[in-house]
Amino acid sequence: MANTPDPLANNPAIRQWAERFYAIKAWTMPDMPDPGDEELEARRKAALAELAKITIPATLSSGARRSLAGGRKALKKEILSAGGADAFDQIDSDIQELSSQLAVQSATAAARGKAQAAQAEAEAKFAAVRDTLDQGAFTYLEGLIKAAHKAMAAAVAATDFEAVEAQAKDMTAKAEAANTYGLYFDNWTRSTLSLIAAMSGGAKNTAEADRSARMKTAAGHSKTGDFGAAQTALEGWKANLGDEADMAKALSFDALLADYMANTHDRCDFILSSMVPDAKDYRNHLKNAKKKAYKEQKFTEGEALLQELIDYSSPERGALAKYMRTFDPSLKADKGFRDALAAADTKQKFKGTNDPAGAMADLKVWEGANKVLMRQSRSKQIVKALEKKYQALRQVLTEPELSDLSATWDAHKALADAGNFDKDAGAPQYHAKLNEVFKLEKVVDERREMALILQRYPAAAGYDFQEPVTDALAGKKYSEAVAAVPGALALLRAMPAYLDARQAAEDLLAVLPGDADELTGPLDAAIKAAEATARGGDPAKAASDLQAVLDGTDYMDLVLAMADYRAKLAKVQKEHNRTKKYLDLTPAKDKLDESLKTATDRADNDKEYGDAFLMLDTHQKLLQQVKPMATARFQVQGILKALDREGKGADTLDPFKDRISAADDEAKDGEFATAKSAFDGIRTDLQALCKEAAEDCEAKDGVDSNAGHSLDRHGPDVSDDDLIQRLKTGKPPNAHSDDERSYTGASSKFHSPQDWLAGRELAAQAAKDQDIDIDETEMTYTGDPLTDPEENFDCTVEHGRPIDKAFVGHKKHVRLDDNGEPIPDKTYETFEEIEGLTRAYVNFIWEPDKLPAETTDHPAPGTDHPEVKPQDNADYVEKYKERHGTATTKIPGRWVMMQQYPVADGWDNETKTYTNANPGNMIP
Amino acid sequence: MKIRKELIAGYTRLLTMGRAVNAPDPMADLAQFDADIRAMHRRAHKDGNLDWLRLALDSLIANPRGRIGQFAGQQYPFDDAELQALFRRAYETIWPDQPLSEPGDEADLEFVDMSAEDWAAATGAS
Repeated sequence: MANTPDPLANNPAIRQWAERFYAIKAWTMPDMPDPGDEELEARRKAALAELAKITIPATLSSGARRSLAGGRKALKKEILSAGGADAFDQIDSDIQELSSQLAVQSATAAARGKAQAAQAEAEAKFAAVRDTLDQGAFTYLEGLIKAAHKAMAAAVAATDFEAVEAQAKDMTAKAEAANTYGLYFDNWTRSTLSLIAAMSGGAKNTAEADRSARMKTAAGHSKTGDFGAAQTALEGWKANLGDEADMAKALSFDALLADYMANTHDRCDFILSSMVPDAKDYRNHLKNAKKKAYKEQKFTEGEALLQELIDYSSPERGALAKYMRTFDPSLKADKGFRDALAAADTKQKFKGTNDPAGAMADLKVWEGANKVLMRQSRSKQIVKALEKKYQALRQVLTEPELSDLSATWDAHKALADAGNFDKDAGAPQYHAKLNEVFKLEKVVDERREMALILQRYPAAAGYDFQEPVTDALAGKKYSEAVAAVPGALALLRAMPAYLDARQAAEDLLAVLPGDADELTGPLDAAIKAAEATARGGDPAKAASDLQAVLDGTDYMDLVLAMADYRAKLAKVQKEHNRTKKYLDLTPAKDKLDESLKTATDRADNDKEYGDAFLMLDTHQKLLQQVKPMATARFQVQGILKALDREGKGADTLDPFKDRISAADDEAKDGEFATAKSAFDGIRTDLQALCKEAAEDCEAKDGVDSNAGHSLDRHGPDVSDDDLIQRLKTGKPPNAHSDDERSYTGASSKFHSPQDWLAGRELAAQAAKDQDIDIDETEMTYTGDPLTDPEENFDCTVEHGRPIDKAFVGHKKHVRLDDNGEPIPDKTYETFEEIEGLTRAYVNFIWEPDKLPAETTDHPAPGTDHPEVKPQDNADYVEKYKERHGTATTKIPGRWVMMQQYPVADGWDNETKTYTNANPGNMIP
Repeated sequence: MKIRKELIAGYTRLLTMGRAVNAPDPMADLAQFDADIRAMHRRAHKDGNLDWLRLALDSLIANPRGRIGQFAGQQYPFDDAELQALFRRAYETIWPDQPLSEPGDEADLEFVDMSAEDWAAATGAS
């Protein structure tokens, strides 16, 4: 979801109160002045009384709350500092303004909440339908989303937010209409393709040309949101047919096929591969239906076959197939079973009684009457069908149940493999136990969640809510343990909220004045009562009781100030740590830490959480200045190392090193703006050297290798049109011939050679940390491919700054396969443009040298061997042995950078952040 | 049961973004991926994650629909059938003696976004 505006940042009416807090340094408060002038005292008293009436509502956003609270504090300081009665004309007016502003902001906050909800709904809708849209509709909806984000970012007043809400609701409706059209577009695209396949000569050419023209016309309409006109444009294509009614038939068949694939195919596949006896009669239905439609253009007949397959693949028959999977094939040797199966077949036969549920019931009766046979069948099926599930379960269970599972499984398997199926002494004796212990599979995720809660909130363990589960497991009562998990998890899930509320209450208690018994007494009692409730087994109620007390007007201001501070600290601390990762310069890091500490001290030592919040806001602004400097410095350091590696001499590099040293000095002194400007300048001035070095690297990598295409295909000189062309046709930028193809799902490019070279070298440095030297030219091979040195190094470099843009494919083009069936192509109909990516995936790969053309005495004297390029060291050794009869331990070769391109996966183009979990091996 | 998607993607990336994928037609001959398969095998072995990799590949091969595509990477537009074929080759190369599951017999794995810390906390794995 897009970032919502921070009122503290973009609403001047709110911001002014924070500025006022800073301007008069309202974190220090003078003592109440001694009584003096009577009029002055009266005005001061009245002003303080009026100010005391102002409460900051919880409904406001945290930024607004703290800013307005800061304004209230500033006014208090002005009241206490006023030297004459005449100062109160302005102060009284300002108090009124603050009061009015609160009313206005409350209304704004309500409108803002509705706008956010509507926008989230619209974005969710767009995300749900984006892959069905044609390029026109995609562009249209994307435009609406961007406009809504822009409007949201600029919104200040309630009316602005109301307009955003209306815009978002309209967008949701438009997305639905676009989706309906997108489904028709797919349906039409495939159908027209298959209809054209049956044409020939001029008619075919005309129909193809008309199809392309109509798609363009339709895209023009859908780009403006006129999906009705777009559909009409497509529908007109039927004029190319001898019988226009064929169009409807083709569309109908395609729609049914799409529905079958989405809703029935998996179940049908399962049934057709099962022991259901008449399944063999339907195994070719799908193939035949497609043949009728695509080869013979008999869409109605194809549709009839498909419909019959759908009807055959009913959920009841699916259940029967699943049940029959529990029968081991060895049962077929038994006549009784064969008879039962035949009877069941008769009952379930689709073209007969069609009663699969009844057939299953009959088989269950037979099963009950043939326990000896079934025990054997079941044991065989357990060994065969449950092995992978057993292995997965073994990975996640812990003691004591893990040993029990393994011992039971092994004992059962040993007896089953030995053919001992005796009820009491053979494998079947373990059926009940295995059934029990496998039940734990159902609660693996819930137990993981329990473990995580207990790890993150160690205090939760002291309430013993997990005990029923652990006790049952210790007693090997697995059904009991499984039954106890939902209850235990529900209680543990309530614990974080309770423990947080309790912590907030205890913090509040520590902040309240020692003589304020009327406040501390009830709060202390509430904490004790809540604890008793939690210990009594209702942590959810305990949390809500305690929160209700905290939300009471007596405490609300303080509680909100603490909560706002903590939330802001979490956010700022994360950015602070991230910035420090790039800023590997101790004195500068200390300066940053000092700035943060000023804010945290105000909270931790002075318990002034509202002040600390606003100080965090100041620190956040400092981070916004430092991070670009730090990331520029991070890149510049990488670039210098790369240029050094490429053999650029001291004459070239020393001037840059001097400038870096000077810029570092500025950063060490806390002159971050100057340092940023200096690093930006160095980075810019390195461009020509980077371009030259990057091209050299690629040229070297590309010799006799598939490597060396990163700059060609992702370099800063590649145009947007080239990137789009690659996505839509597969033709790569800088293709050596018109028919060269290199398909991709995301076509991206770096902004600058500096980004490219820095990424390469930062990855090379990370490789070095793992004992991989990309300048190495010989590797030792011991013969054990699992423990030999790595021949791959890959990582994701997080530059911390925008490095590129990309076009990401969504809907694929359709083509006909050899059977005339429309299938997705490797190229894309629809793409999305994204910008600001900050990560690059880099991999280095070891390539052994070629083995030369040579004549050896192996396997026979005078054997000629052609030149050959091995894939890796194992392959090299294999090929070497073929020539020399013995292995070699030293393999010549080199490291090449096989890939470097910006990472689009998981990128949220609106928030400009990655939404997926961090990949492994992230740098820094 | 839920499994950290990145745990497996870190290995499959060696196939989908490795040596062979830069070839003019990577799917023309799956033998082009053999070095990448060996790299994946070695990496998972060194990390102690061979069992997870085996179970995950087996699960994806047996039940690919709607989920195998998330392991395609962004270098080459593999379709589901191609990924299934590639993973099958990898599985059969690394574990030639361990048969693939029939559909329905695979481990019931759900690949989800999960931090490394959460995964390690719950499994003791890396």
